[in-house]
Amino acid sequence: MLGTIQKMGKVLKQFTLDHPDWGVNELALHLAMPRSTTHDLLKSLAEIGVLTQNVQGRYHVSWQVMRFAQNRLWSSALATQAHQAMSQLRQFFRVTSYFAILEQDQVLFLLSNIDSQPNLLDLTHIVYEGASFNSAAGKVLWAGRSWADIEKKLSETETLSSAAPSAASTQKPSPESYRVVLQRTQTDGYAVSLDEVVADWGDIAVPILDKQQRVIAAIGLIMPSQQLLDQRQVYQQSLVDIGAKLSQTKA
Amino acid sequence: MQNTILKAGKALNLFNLNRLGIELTAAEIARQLNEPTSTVHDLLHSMVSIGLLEVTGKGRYRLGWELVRLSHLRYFYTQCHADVHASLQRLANETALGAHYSLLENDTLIVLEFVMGANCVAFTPNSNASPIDGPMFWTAGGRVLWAYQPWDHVEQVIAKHGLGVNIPNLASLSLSYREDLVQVRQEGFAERSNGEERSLAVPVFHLNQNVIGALSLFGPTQAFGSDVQQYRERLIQASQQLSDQLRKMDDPYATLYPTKPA
Repeated sequence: MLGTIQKMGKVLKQFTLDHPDWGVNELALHLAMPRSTTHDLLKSLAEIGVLTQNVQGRYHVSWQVMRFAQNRLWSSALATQAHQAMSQLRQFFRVTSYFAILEQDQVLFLLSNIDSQPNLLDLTHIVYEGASFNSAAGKVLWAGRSWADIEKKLSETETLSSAAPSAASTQKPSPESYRVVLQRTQTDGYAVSLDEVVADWGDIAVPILDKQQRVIAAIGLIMPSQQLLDQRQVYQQSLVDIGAKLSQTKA
Repeated sequence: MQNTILKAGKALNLFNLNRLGIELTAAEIARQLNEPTSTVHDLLHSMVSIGLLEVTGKGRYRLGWELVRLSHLRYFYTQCHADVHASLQRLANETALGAHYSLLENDTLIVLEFVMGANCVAFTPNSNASPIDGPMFWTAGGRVLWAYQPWDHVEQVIAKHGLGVNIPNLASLSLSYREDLVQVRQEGFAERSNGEERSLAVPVFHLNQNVIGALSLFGPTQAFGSDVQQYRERLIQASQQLSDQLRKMDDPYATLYPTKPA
């Protein structure tokens, strides 16, 4: 049983921004799995409503998954409070705000408020998933993990954020330099990233902690690097206040 | 293999059956799946390891973030996402209520996105009164969406799922439901209020006046105040704007993933 569910998890993990749909043969080859096993897995995942087949016979994530996701988000006081805080941040500062979690070694940016101003970046197109070591959110979230976990993930990761349109995004930090960055993040209680994910853009983030002072999420802002440099103190103070308030919310 | 995945699917569905944010123990799930607790424990443990479930501090299980990742993968890159999101955000900002967009897929009502306004931050629907899964015939959004389906199809779905309310005389209820849908279609608007909660919904149209979704406002009844009409007008206006935007797309629900840089 455990083996089947692990395989199911492995299959689901292949559905990413880089590869949102798969054919049976293609996935079997990619996972080095027998075609019949891959076919059975995809078919079963479609039967339970997690995947669906398009007219070309390729599998992609089903709308039905929205039901589960909405349930998860709607039932989380933290997610709804964070959503409200992000709206306020966006309206006040006129920049994009985000809520991020570290789920199984992937930084997942959720509920990002995309500002309607056309010159602002659409956050979800840049750092939707991946380890995201270099983003401020990544630094804050990884700072809450054990160093052994981080070293392992760093050694497993070849390149970063392949969806990002910048050479900077593919640079992986060295373990030594990243350890210093994370120690500083822990001391400061916030993190900044300037030109480290996308040229001329940066983000600033603070942790959201649970009752045991463990990092469970991050909330942050994304904007042009120069704007972040000019107003860093203001953004930092606002986020620190909001992070502290959200840390009192039940996850 | 298929059996294990089907069991996992059934286990996931238990979390959506009764109310939002449900947390269940292995024993409760085992009872509902009619399986030994030890088997279910192994199943749940492995589902946790792939992120479909989480263990809460109290040793209970709830839905996991992997499902949120997968749903975002589907929704954020849907052609209509930016327009739907902007529409909901505007509605929530202007009314301070909750706003959501829903559609029907395989006779199930799917809420694509919700945005909570200032007066609804801590509001969650009273799920004991409202079913949260399936056709959701009696919600305002559900009534709007079902009102534009052929009645013979609605009847088939009612026969399969039931209307979802505990009223013994189903035949007359079904008849009154039909009348209700006719009225909703005539007015292009549905309202539901159970005293504590209120929701309003209007259809969103695509080409040839096909209804492809429903736009709703919801929240505690007191947050609506006495002038519900103003919200109805605002909702109709938002729906017209959104329909105009979606009509420019051949398939608003198609996904457009960003091209990877060379």
